[in-house]
Amino acid sequence: MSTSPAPRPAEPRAVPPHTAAGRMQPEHARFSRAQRMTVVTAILALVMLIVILQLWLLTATMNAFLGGHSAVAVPAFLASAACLGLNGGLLWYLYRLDR
Amino acid sequence: MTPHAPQTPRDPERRTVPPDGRPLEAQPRWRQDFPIDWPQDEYVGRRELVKFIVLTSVAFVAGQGLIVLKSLRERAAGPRGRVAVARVNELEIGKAKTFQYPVGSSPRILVRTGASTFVAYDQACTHLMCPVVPARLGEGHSDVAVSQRGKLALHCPCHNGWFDVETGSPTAGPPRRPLPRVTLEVRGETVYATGIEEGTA
Repeated sequence: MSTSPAPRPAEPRAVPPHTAAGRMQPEHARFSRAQRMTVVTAILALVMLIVILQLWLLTATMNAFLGGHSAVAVPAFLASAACLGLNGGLLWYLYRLDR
Repeated sequence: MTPHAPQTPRDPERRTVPPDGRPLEAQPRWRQDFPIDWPQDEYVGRRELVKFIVLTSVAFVAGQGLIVLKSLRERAAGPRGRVAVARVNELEIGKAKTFQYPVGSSPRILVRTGASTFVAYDQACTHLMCPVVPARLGEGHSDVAVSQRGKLALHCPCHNGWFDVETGSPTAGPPRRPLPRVTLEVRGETVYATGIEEGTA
């Protein structure tokens, strides 16, 4: 007489990250290291581009200021602060990747 | 069982296991910042580079802020007032004298260009701050057009920069920006400095 094998407990199914349960997963669990490396490289490229833009802004503003045109100082400051905000946002996202 | 047995399944991406066997997240900060795995080390290195570049971004904003503060301070200083700088008959035509306007500033140069015409500029060349002096075009230079020879100009001897004496604009050599101009007023026998022309200082 043969006995039927006991039913195996169901394997836990992988929870996709976009589901309600998946939203609780930390970012680093959602991405593999290779994916995080791609993300950090992209962020690095963006941040470098923005900083080069800020460098150009600073030299142009300094040139105008030394030439006696101080009207550009405030708009250039605001534009540079907006660039810093973008950079800060990208850095914050990078920190979230590691949490 | 050893006391340092791993408590969680080993992450396949982690090629090395710390000595105490715990996952990387449970390790002290220094061990997370200096990983042994090359790919993880490369990741951490790029992340730290992003942090450093964002710091540079902060420095650029601080620099822009300093320019704004300086321009606001200059605006708040208001008009500089009227200061007597020379007597009309004190200078021959084509001759110059230096003065300070406002008092305590860097030297300005006053040039008599005609019987009753004077011009004044900041004496520092806009290239590398050497003092400019009045000179006649063509003195020692054969490449100046014959029609221009003998014309009064301002000369920076350091790097052979030349400025138009009437406008202060650069005409030859390395300078690219005009000399800051001091506005003048001739009243009777006295020449007064009345301000610095907007857009030139």
